[in-house]
Parts: sequence; C-alpha cells; structure tokens
Amino acid sequence: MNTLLLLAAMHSLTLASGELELMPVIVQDVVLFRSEGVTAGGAGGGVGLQLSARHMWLAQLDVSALWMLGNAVSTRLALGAQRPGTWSPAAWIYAGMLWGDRMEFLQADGRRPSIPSWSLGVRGSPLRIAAPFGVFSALEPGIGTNFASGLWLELSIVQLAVRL
Amino acid sequence: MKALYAACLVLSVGACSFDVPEVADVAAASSLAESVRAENLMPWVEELAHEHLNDIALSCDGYPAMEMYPSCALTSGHARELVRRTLEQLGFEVKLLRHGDDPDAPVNVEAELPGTTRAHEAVVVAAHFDAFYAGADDNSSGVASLLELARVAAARRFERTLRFVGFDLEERGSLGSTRYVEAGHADDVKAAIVLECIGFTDRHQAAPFGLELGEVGDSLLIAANEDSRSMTELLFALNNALRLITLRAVIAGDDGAFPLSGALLRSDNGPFWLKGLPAIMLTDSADFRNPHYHEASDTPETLDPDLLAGSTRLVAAALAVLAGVEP
Repeated sequence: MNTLLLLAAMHSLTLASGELELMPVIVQDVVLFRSEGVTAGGAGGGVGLQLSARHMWLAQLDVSALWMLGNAVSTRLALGAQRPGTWSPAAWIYAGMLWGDRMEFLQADGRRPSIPSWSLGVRGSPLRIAAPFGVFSALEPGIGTNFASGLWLELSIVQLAVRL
Repeated sequence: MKALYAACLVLSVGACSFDVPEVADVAAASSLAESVRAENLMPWVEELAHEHLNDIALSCDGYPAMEMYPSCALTSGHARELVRRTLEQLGFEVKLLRHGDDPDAPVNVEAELPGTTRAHEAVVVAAHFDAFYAGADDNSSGVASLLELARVAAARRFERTLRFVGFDLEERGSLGSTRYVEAGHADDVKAAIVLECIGFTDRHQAAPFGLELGEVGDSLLIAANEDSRSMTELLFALNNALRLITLRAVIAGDDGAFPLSGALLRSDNGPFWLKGLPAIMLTDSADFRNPHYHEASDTPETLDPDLLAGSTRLVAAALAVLAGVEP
C-alpha cells in the first residue's frame, strides 16, 4: 500500500511540472572499496529514485545489495548533468557508503577501520539512452576516494529508469 | 574545503575504532609465554623434516600433480608417529583417530589435558603433519610449535580442556580436519588455533586480490572470521602487551566462505569456520611469501627461528587466557 502511495505521489510530481521528472530506477552494479584497513563491496543489484530537472540536471539516490565478501549494502547519492536528447550521456559526482560484511585488516594497535566505508567520487554514463519508456544506461564507471588510503571503484553494468 | 577535508579525515581515521580488550592476567600469559624454549623448536623441525624425507610417499592415484601440488611427494606416516610418540613422552594419553575404512583415510592424532573446572569446554591447538618433501615451513614449523606448546602445557593445569590435534592430509583439501569436525570431535570447542606455516620471513610479501598483507614479509598473519574476532583481538592485545612479534590480522565477514575471502579457508581452520566454531589460523602466508612452498627446497635452514619462537610464545600466552591457566 505504501509503495502504491509513493508511486502515485511520484506520478503527481511528474505531471505537476513538465520540467521535473521523478523515475524509479533499477540497477545492477559492482562496487569495490579498498583501503589499508578494508576490502568491501561485491556484485549485486538494487533500486533507487532518479530526479531530472529541466531535462539537464540529475539527482539519484540508490541502494544496492552486494555479494562477494558477505552481504553488503551500498547507498549512493549522486548529482549530475546530462546532455538532452536521445543519446543523453551524463556525468555525476557522488557520495557512497558501504555497510555490512567486509574483510577487515586490523591495525597494529588493534584499531578497526571506520564503519561504514565511504567515498566521494565521480561517475560517467557514456552509454545512456532516453526513450519513451524511460532512460537506459550501461557500463557506467566510477571512481572515488575517502581522502585517506581508500579507493572506491564501481561499475554500474545496467541501469534502467522507468517513466511512469 | 578544509573543513570538508578535516571531516573526511575524522571519518576515515577515528570512527568506530574499538578499545583493545584488557587482558585480565597479562602476568600469567607472560609466564606461559616465557616457558617456551626457543631452542627446542628448530630441532623438532629438523627431526620432522628428516622423517618426511625418509618416509614412503602416499599413493597419488587419483591425485594428479599440478602446479604447486606435487601430489606424489606427500608423506605423513612417520611424522604422525613422531607426534604421537612425543606427546606420549610428555605424559599425554594419545588417541589415533582414523576417519574411514579406506586405505587413504586420514588418521589424526589427538591428546588432551582435561580442564579442572570447565572440562566440557575445549581449547584446541592444531597443526597438520602431512607434508610435501621435507615440509619445513609447511608444516613442520606448525607441528614443532604444537609440540613445544604441549610440553609447556603439560606442566600446568587449565580450567578448560586443552586439546592438541595433529591433522592428517591437510594437503588433500583439509581432509583430516574436515572428517574430525564432521565426526563431532570439535563440538565442545570454544576456541581453536590452527598453526599453518609459521616460520618463514622474507623481504617481500605478496597477497591475493583483496588482501592487504603489507610489503615486507616479516609478520605473522592471523586469519579470522566474525566468529573468531574476539580471539583475534585478544591475540593483538597480548602481543601489544608482551611485544613478541610483528602481527597482522585479516577478519573475513560472517563465516568467511565467500569468493573474495576464500583464500583464508585453505587450511584446517576451514571446517571449523563452516561449522560456526571460533577458530583462527596463524600463518606466514605460505606461498604468498615463501618461494619454497611445496618445493623440495622447503628445508629447515630457510626458516626464521625468531618468527617461529615468537609465534609459539604468542600462542602460549593466548592459551593462558583462553584456557584459563591456573596459578
């Protein structure tokens, strides 16, 4: 019931403003975070919401369940800009966090690495196509850092934003 | 921007660190660690290596030789007999546990010191005694450490039952330890320490994808999972207190049985992990450091006696706490 209400609200938002569009997103992705204290991430998929404004500005929030080092969850908030048109490549900056199972390397003093693992980074969407049913994108690479020893690598294999 | 950078540093460095657990009785741990005689270790390694070289190799039918797996050079019988005989000489009642009727069935060696007040809870020290060629690092180093720990423990009493286990046929996929755990021999285990190649150091250190082991191969690595996190933290606390060796630890998520942490399940800790029993593996990282791994050149003179002695002292200190050594 809550889901239906949410979808109805999103649809209303879309209709209320021709320049503002909110679409649910499904994503299949691979995320790997490595630092001197942690290896985390994995492959999996998830869902999110994508908001576009004036056919140019983008915001996306998504959550993915990942598996390779246990059960992990990634959450990402991304802001971006797209080229209007059918071929609509986009560039993003994002903040990502990884929760759940991971491989930890204890430091000499027994200190644990931070929880969650996090990163600020950039992502590109070179193969992004706008169609009447929504927006399809494939092979989106991303790279980020936690400004210490951490490196975040990600690849969204397939991403589909569905127009309601 | 500076504020953002500072916030990032705080998040990456400071967040979620834990307090290293206090060791209730560092003095008792230190006393047991100091009971270890470093000069006993290398002679045992040499004797085990000698036994392996003078043993008849096990049949390798059905076990084709592969890279890093010289299956037709595997021996275990003489080393098993040496372990059995030595444990008996130390005063233990020793059991040979044969798991299966087939001629290739693993035969483990088990000796225990019954606990005084919590005898139904066991702490295990284990090492596999089968080896390729002389098998100095893999795994006469682990077996020598086990024998010295048994010698040290034999003169003491512990609250929990202390069990020393020599595993057979680890080199055939941890066969001895798998059958041991499957047969229920580990059902009462509260902590298990598996000694797997603990005597080699080198200037260089490699690592499989996803593992961070540093660049210099001078440390002892603890491989753990969530079930054995507290044991790992205990060993760190003891090592920091007693200043024994350079120590590293990797803790796999959950039970550790995942594709990117699979390298940590390569030894006799694997069956314990898969059954949810708290176990750690102590290792010099084997082939990720030692160029003699599974080679005829894995001989005693390639070992670092200091790492072997320090590792043995660390385990002795851990046993004092885990098993509760009595004054």
